[in-house]
Amino acid sequence: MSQEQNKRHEIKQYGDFLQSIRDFMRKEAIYEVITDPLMPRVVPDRGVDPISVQVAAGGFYLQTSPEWEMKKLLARGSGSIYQMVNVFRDDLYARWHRPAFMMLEWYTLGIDDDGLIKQCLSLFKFLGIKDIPTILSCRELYQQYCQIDIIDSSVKDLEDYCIAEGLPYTSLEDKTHQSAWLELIWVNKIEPNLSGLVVVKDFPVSQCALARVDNKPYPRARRFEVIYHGCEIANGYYEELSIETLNKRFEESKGSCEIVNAQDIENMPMCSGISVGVERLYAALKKQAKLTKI
Amino acid sequence: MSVNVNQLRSGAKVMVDGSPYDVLENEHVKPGKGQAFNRIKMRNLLTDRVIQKTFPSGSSLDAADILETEMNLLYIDQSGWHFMDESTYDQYTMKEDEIGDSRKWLKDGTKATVIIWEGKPISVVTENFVELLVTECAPNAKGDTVSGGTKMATVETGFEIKVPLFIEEGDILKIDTRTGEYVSRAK
Repeated sequence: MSQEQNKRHEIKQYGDFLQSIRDFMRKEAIYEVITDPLMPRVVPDRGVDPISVQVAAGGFYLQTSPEWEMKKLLARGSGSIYQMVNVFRDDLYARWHRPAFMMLEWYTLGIDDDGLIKQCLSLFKFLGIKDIPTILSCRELYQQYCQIDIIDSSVKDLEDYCIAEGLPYTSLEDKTHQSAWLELIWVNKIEPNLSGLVVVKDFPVSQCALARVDNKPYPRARRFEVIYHGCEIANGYYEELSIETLNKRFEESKGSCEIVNAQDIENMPMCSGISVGVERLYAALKKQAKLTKI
Repeated sequence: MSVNVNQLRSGAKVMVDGSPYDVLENEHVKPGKGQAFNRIKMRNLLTDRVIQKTFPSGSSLDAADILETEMNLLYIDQSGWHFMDESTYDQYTMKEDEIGDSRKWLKDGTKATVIIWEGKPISVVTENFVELLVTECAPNAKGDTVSGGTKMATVETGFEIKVPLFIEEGDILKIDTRTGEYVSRAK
């Protein structure tokens, strides 16, 4: 094949992949929406840095995810919806990172995180990922790889563990937060050892973000991640609906950007939502060890 | 001098837990729940062991005081391998454990890169190809012309390597030191 034919073939394959995602959504009665990518306010999220832009109409942030606009539609009776668009984050170009990348985000009404895990895995299978998934709780993973029980561990216990294991903690930010220590342990001790298709569910409450928190059988945030050979490709939540709870969490994790008001999504029905890194998913499908430009 | 982990490129030499390391890879990792990290794959220059550590972004490491100098092996005796830096005429004696696998390819007059850490030699990197004399091997049996057959030959440094059947004592072999394999008969 000539270089041009190769390129054409590559583009067709990628287009077929995007079309398959749309076919799956249609089959599941999840409808496509496209929302405004310019956001006057952000959903506060530590570790996600928005890019701000100034246009004639005023100052905006480029969407870091279409989450909030979609939740507003859900609150107005849209039913299950999806969106596949570029999102923007102030980040680097790296093996698994780009400041602009395509996100597939969808919400399914009437199901919890377990229901959404099933739906997500069924999409991956539909697209041709043949690996048999392993589903584990966060607690089980920390027990298996580090012999620590994250439910009983204080910040001091986690710090002692990191010191004993020689983990580089000196420049860790937020040393008073359990989540920061759990992350340091995660990236050193767990993530590099995960192979194949792994679903991690039931996160520590300190990492609940916008997910529901349950206290039974132990305190856990009802969110999950799908990881393929150590690279996160999807991140799902059983959505918290209480306006009061959401506003309280926003206040706690607020940075310097102006933040949204949880009132915007009052009356959002019981649902679960997920975002998938589309280029990472394509790399997983093609068994590539880094992002490639189409 | 300390270096921010964000700026480490492959080939940088840094100190980690008291040992000098050679950086092989540096990957930006951002799990999205807070801080970003740098996942660094590096080789311990004393033990050759490769490890991986993931540092919170903004961490800094001390640069290792490493010099890589081309030297000439003067001679080998009971006290070790004696090298000379031909630009300064400084001489260094290295022990067997510091020489490591490179000892298979070193003979008087061999040029090699000596890694010096804080003034002390810690390891030797030989050139990718060396030429060594065969001192011992089974004779080439008559009619043994089938291609693909191999036998063992001992070279002048005392090590055995696999060679084709046509090689004879007194031949000079070109050897790839990275794989330890026979390449060809030297002209």
